[in-house]
Amino acid sequence: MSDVLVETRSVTRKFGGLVAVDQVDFQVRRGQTKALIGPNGAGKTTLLNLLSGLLPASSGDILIRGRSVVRCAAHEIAGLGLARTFQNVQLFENMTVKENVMVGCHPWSRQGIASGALRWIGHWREEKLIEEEAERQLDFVGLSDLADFPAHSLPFGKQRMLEIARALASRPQVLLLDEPASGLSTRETSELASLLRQISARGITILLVDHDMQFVMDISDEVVVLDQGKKIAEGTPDEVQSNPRVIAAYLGVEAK
Amino acid sequence: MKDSERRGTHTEKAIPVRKKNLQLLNILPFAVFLACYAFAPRVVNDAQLTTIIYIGIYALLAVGLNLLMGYAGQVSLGHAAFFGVGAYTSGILTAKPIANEVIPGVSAGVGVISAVAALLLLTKPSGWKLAVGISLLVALGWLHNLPNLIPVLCAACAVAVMGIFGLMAKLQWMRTCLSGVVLTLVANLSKWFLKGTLERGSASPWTGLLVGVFLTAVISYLIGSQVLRLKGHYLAMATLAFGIIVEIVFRQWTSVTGGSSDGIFNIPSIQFFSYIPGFLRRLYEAAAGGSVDLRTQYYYLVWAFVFIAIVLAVNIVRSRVGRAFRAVHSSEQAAASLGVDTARYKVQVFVLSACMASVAGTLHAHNAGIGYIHPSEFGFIVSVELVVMVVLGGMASVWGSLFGAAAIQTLKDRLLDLEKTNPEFWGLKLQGLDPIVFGAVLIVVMIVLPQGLVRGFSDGVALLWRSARRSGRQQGVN
Repeated sequence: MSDVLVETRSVTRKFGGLVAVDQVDFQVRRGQTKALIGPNGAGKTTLLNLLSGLLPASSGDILIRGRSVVRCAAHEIAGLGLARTFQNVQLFENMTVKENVMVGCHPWSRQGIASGALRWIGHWREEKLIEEEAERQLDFVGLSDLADFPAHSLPFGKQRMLEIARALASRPQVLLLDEPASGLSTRETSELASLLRQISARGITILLVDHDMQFVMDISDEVVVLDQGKKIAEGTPDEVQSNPRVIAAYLGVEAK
Repeated sequence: MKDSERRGTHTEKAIPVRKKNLQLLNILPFAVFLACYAFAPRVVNDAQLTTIIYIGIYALLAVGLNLLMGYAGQVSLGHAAFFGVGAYTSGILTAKPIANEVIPGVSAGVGVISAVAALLLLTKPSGWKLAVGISLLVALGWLHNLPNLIPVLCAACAVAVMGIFGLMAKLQWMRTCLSGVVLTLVANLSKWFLKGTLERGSASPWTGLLVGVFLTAVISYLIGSQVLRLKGHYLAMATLAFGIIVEIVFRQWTSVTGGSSDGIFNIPSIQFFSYIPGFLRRLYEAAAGGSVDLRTQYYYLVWAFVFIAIVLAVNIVRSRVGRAFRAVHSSEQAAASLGVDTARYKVQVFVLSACMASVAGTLHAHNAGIGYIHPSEFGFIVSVELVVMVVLGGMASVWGSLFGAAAIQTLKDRLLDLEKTNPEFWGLKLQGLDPIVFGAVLIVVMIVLPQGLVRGFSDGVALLWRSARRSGRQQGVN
């Protein structure tokens, strides 16, 4: 069990009368690339928000690296080594590209406000590390030459990449990606797929949500299918694709 | 200001925000500032000096508020309240005689506070450690107030007691000794403060400054930790309400604050030049050709604080915590998902900016030749003025706040001059124009220069320069 990084135990989230996530159990093992798919409104994004602590769960338990995090605030979960991107890209628009990634270095840096205000030695030392890390991540996603531009001036595809670089700068063990391929061109999507493979090769576990089936089946080791908040299938891409319940959910046919 | 609006003002081609290897450009404003700082009193007359002192006080406020509003994106419409807390604390402590009976209590209080501070600084706090520390320091506070207790003995006592305490708590002996030494120093420092107070009959302005900042920090922490959960308009309303409540306290608590009829007067000023090294003073006096009057000294004091505030603000903005502040401004969700404790940082910047306001308040109270404070100087209108200064100077622009404060203060002076002439406009008596004019300024700035004076101006210059270069190049081609 020690290689299970993320685990949910019958986790449920209700919005008023609507059950967005209904008693979902699944596990993500270390080094895996796992995908959450499902038709619109299946509760995929809600599930990611529960995992990253942006929404409290109504009931059930979430374990990250064996620790229960249902009572934890988002920043504490980030401190456990979980980073994420957002469906509608949420960059810090008033900052430069590089500064965005530097914010990502927050979980592993320590200098407080006094150190920054008075420029103590620790500030310079850490600032150098942060800057190096930011440059490394920007280089990795291919944005180094745009480092000093304001983040909002980037085209959409590059904003996505920037968001991934920012998440990587936090040195995560698990990377949650909420629809990373949506709004990207075919070429950009294939670039993204190769980037995700490289991230996975670095030993970072990936959990992603997406609609682009080809993209998902291409890069993921395992797929979880949600429909109306419930988990209806789990397995390798091939298994899932031939599962009648999955087909039914996607084509809107009543399952037997 | 919404980001989308801000985006609208951008030129189509994005330009890099800050190029590398332009360290000189970062230092240049400070150099210009210091040059102006040194020579300004030589070129201005008395009335202008008064205005400049006020500009300094408001610049201090605006820089602090800009950290909160411009960088961390949290609106405060009650900032004048902290300004007032600083001013009143300082004014009350220095202008009113302090009864001798209060001194031991105050001394014990200072002891306890310094003990808690030292404990928090030097050890990892836990409940019982804190309890032991506090009771220990109550005793210490009482001890060091006993007459004829020599500091060395006091230090030895403190180190010994802290040593035993440290052994019990299994602390490192280095840390323990260090905290003992720190405590002794703080205890003796407070003793020195109190001795001066006893001789003078009232506290020194510096004590007023420190107590004011401490009080403001406590109040702003308590208020901020509750209020900052709110967002946008709700936060604005809550801070507005807080500001109004504090102003009412200033007006109604007559026995302490003098109420709205009296205010507090005869607040002593600070002779700044008696605190700087003698040779510097003599050098300056030689250059100025004679002794320097109190107002000029006060000018130097106020603007020294402004300089420190700007340096601190600029440093904070370009640091890890400053980036976290700005991240909170843009997207709290994204910031939190990257490990930024949004609640903590919001309270932190709130307290910081309140403390800066409190320092400005103390400076306002001790203003040379005036030494008078009144509740109306800390009311809602002042809070709004501060917001206008920040917006006019430019949100998220430390230097902009300086210009915002200067512009608004100058405008205020002009309006006052105008009102003295009792103007009439189609039978309408033009009195109390400030709010109307400031409202108009705010609207115009929001529409025409949403980036504020400084950024708007520099953007305009950059645009002109680039278009000039482009047309120059075209001519070259032709």
